[in-house]
Amino acid sequence: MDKLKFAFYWGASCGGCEVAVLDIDERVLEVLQIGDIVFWPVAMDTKYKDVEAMPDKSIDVSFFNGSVRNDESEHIAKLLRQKSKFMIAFGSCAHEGCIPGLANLHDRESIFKKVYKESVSTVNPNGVTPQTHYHVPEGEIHIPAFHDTVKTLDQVVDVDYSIPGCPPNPDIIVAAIDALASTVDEKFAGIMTVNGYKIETLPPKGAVLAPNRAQCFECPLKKEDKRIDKIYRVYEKIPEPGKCLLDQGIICMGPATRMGCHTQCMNAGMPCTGCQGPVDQAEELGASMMTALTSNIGLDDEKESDYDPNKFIEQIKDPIGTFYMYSLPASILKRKVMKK
Amino acid sequence: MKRVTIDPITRLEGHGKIEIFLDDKGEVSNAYFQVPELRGFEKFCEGRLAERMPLLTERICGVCPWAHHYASTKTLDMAFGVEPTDTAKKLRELSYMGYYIYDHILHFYFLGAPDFVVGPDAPAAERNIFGVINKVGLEIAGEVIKHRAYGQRMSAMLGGRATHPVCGLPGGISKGLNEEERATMEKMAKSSVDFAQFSLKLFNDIVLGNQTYVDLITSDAYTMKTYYMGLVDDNNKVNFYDGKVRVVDPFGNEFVKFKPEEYLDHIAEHVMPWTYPKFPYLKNIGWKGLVDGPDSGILRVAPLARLNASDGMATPLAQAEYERMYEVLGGKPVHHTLATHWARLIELLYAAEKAVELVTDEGITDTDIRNMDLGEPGEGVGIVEACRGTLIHHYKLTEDALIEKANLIVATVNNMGAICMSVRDAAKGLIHKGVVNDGLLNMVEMAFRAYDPCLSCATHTLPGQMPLEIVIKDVKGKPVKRLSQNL
Amino acid sequence: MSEEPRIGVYVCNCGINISATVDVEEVAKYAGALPNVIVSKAYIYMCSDPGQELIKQDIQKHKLNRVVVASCSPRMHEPTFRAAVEEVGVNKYLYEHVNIREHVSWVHANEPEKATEKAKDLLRMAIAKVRLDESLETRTVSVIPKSLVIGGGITGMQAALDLADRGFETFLVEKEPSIGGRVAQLSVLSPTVEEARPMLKKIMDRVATHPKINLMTYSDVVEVSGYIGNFEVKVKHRPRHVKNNNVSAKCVEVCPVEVPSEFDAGLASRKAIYTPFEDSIPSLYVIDDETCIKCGKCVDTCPEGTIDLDEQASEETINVGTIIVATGGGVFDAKNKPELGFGKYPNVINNLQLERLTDKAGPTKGKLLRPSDNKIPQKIAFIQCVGARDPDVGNPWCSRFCCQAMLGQVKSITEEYPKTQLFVFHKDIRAFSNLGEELYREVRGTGQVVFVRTPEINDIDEDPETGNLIVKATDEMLQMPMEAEVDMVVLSNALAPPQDAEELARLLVIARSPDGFFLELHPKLSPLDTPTVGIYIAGVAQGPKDITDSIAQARGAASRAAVPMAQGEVELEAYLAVVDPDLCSGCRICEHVCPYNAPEIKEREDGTLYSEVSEALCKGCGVCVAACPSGAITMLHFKDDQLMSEIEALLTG
Repeated sequence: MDKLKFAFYWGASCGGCEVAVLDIDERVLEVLQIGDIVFWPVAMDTKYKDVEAMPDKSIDVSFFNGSVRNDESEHIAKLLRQKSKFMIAFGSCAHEGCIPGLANLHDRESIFKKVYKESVSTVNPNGVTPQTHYHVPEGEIHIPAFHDTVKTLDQVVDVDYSIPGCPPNPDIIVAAIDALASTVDEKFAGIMTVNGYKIETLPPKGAVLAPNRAQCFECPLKKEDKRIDKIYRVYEKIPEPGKCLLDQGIICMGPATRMGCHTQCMNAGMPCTGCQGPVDQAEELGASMMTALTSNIGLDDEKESDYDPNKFIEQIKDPIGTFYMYSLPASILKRKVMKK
Repeated sequence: MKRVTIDPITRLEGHGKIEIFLDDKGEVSNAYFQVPELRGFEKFCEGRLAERMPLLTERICGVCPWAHHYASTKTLDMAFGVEPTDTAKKLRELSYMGYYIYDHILHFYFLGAPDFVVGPDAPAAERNIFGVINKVGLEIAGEVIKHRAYGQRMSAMLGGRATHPVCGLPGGISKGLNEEERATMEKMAKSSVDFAQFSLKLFNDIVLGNQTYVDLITSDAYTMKTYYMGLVDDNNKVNFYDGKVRVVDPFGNEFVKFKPEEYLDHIAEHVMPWTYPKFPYLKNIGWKGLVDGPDSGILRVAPLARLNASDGMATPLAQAEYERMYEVLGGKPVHHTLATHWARLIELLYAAEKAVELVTDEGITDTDIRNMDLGEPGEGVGIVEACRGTLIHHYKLTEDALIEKANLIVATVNNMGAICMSVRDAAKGLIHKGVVNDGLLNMVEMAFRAYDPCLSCATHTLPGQMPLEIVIKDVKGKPVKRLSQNL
Repeated sequence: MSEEPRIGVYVCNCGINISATVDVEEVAKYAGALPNVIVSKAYIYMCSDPGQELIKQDIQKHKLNRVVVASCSPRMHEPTFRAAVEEVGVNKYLYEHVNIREHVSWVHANEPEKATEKAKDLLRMAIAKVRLDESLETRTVSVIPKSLVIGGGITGMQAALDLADRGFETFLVEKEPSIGGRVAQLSVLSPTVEEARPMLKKIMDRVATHPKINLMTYSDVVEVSGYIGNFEVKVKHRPRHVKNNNVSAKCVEVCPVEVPSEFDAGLASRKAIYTPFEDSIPSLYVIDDETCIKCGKCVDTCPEGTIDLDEQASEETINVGTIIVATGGGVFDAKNKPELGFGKYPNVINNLQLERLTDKAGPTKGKLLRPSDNKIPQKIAFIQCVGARDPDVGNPWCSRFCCQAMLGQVKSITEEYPKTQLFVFHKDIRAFSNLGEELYREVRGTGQVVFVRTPEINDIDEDPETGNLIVKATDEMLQMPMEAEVDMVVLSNALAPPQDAEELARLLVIARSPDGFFLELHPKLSPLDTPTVGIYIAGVAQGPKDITDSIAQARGAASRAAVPMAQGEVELEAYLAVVDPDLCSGCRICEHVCPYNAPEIKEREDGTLYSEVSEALCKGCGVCVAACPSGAITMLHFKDDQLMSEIEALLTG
């Protein structure tokens, strides 16, 4: 049978999403039954010029991970969109910006100053900095220009579906490949061994390919009374095993974060930090969790006449880093206002 | 002047391109290894909760997140003045060996081996893991996939997940092992020892048994005489998780051995205008440009360098292989860059043996995994060996335990000078009379591939607009006016 | 929503109230051009019969399925127009009301152009929302035809009588051993100048004998659950330890414990075994657990079986449809104003103590004797507004009754002691009733009383030898400091919220105003209702007032409570928070944010949790909807897409 064509590409990425694909282990051989991988820089030697030579829409599914933050990633994102039937935002960077999205709190200039001038180990008396065009004795060489702002994939091209997570869990990767392949051609149904999170029918365009419910639904920790008076940072207490971390005053983003990772972090005794992004009906992840948390802080104190909400709010030391750790570029905030 | 571009370079972690310039005679006048990526971690980590640094910095690299996770955790140990419990230290090192097993298997089989198993100038479409699978057969492919997965599963048992783990805490680790988990891990570790030995045999048969490859490895194009750096334990044996940093000179003599917190006395970074990563060098030798030799501060890290900088391996089977390699390649230190692939497999064996040693330790299932006696937040330095080299994290904390400033010197970047030189030398050595083809270009790429570069790590930084300063001087040379932008 | 919206828009002139500022014709024309608006008219008085007819006819003629009226506050006429549209078959939740009077014409009267633009903005927003409105069914719940009155003072008793007279079984719960409340402590009422006790006795007797009143004294409400029309109340009965009326004076005499009498405001003492006052109902004695030392002497002295020291508290659960809170108020503790010397100087007393001293059944048998030496005071100073109109002690309000009470007390003293001279230090004299004003004139006419207007009392000093007091104040008229040496000082103490107000508010889930009294639904239009249908407040519990007003509120509250009970059922607003169980992750964030305890966490067979909001308890406040971090809770009639459509309409105008 005619196999499908897949492409995997990375924008401003850490490479974790490529490893995540390998973490489907033997099921990668099932993927090879469904399709050929025509472009995957980490593992294969296809070059950009080879992609440019492909006919439009000849790639069935392109999985793009990493965010768009320079000319190169923007160019390849648009190129792959042109060459592909389905463009998938793979992983948190492409989906919502992820941790490098926190660079949106700064701009090129301040970061440049930090790295090339102020870093304690850098010796740079002449203040040299990398430049997009530079003359070497042999000619002029280029490196792509950097944008001030980290963007998600759908802020740059039309995205068909997103697979969330930093990185996505192998089971949702397999479920997504299974659903996409079966939709392109029924004959591919049933080839992938889907262990969990099976997608019965591919949802309408634009959807996130993971269950539409928060982490708490799957979390093995027992949830009881949520009356939080004191917030503990993870190094300040050893939590009681088996009990909800948020109940114990440790901030856990689980209530606002989409499930689909088998609650890996809670299984290791640590709280969810929100890498799977929000559910469909509460798209602004940071604000949803902030509201949920602050509604439950100091409930008993509220009735006292000397109730001071600041006493509780001040315990949250780094709100942006806590609530928008992965989702800043995709959120209503997007970035810090730049002075130009 | 003709110019050949390889864009993007492939079968490594990260983005890069190589520009090769040919003169009129068709010889290579120079080649530039450029890395275009940047993200800016050192800046946007400022103001973050200190205990989140293991989670934040590990996103520098999804291939070696564990290295950042533990370098960061150890930095927090020092910054909070807290010593992890013995059980925590063992568990951290055990999970770290899981990471090493997966990562070295990943590099050798998926990234580096295609050049040897399928052939360096085989058609591009076959020069990848799928070509390797076709060549070695599904049974071996299955073993490769299985053991790579073992490495991931071993580390995930403690970290929650293999990529971007969560368990590191100042003073300890968030999760321990119960007997069931320990028994499973023991099986995986023991199987990995066998697989590492199988891999060394494969290397022996396919690479060392092929004279063309041996000639390639020992050729000048791929040889460079630099300083070598790596972490060693008290017996100067290779240790990935902890120890002191040891540097040997190109002749193999110890040049310096320093504690993590002393790194600034020994390592400095140089900036080049045509690529984003910085270039670390030995401060006390100095930056002399992209040249090797004892007078140049350029140093190398990662498997070959680690073995060169040490006096041996701490586990018996790996030690035997270590001795064999130096015997075959003519003594210490070995300067042949491609021998890194061999050193990598010796390290794989060590990691598996070390994992067995730790997982069978009688205290490994103990539950005292956290020392809660933290002091006031201060400053700390944490160093581990990532698969790709020495990784240094350095943070200063505010009184609220937020990050005031962070400095990172990240593994691969220590090799940046060497990589640029290796690519240049390989291009010069391989391309003659203007003959350029896909196979030759791939062999130029092999020069960097041996280093198993992690360019996302190398380029955690983020630069900006070009700074410019114009100084107008009068007839006597005295500055009259200074104009500047973006300084 | 399958049908295409067909919207009718009506802009009211409200005579000239709106049209003087807002160009209503222009607004109607503007709205008429918006998508889905079929008709858009301006009319002089929309709420009038012809106005409502206009809407109804247009609905039928133009097949309108949604209506928006821009007029006064929804509090005024939203119900009117909702009823009108329902009459012709349009569900009342497909109606939106826009306030362009209180929110536009009345507040922007000086800027007619901007006001007209604002009216357009508000109308455009409401039209955006009405497009997305959905039909909702109102729910009804049945109402148990029984009532609970908490508090057996004059207010509670009157309310209970009115309810019982109407035929509703009424439980009257009083925490003291006897009903009667504060009025039992009074001697002569003002401004009617009648004796308190006989008036009170009539009411108490009727309460005691009414077949429909279930009297529970020495009892507290400890738990309230359930919902509108169906309250389940746990009442705890404290043990009296006295089983019958065979307690003699001797039994009381042998009791070794003596404590200040609460009834006599500390001027006399009582034993641990006591009866609050002579005509207590019930007339049983009671042994106070707090002070009894269980020596058993009374057991030995009294006939066998009279006393049971081991008696335990008992609990009873009652089911009622309505509750009236008539718990009265406390007395401001003048020790909080140390400059007045209360509690320090024996001859500084408060108005309640004065009542006890002038009560013929009181500790001095009605003779006005000053505490230090039992002499009849020749000069008396009254200090008004003690603990009222005083932000320094946290009581900025006026206590209402004290001016008239003082006048009555002063009048009685001038009549009985013609030689006694009186000073009244006041901020104002608020004798607001007809009789009160007359009384004020009479008192001034006696020539025995000097009224001194002063912003505050600077100090009260005592001459320790004589026990006399020197009152220092600033005469406001003369702008000069003045001093008066008097034999006795009477502080007209204000009323304060009762100590257990906080606990009761928590039990019933009713609000308190900033001054600590219970909060009414609307100060003008609904002074006796609370936001919870079926729970009412009356008397001093709602704020300081005199007996006249307390009785009026008692009778009013009884009337209010009778309405749902007589109708037999109550209609609840359809705005509800609804949890989608397929989206709910069971995180329990919503559980405790609700002020009405409406969300309930349930468990499925597979052990997963989910939340369900009780329809009966939910008030539609929206806190849980906002708090839910996975958007699983929707507010009917105010869904996210509806609110967003309003915001978009406003911003993209």
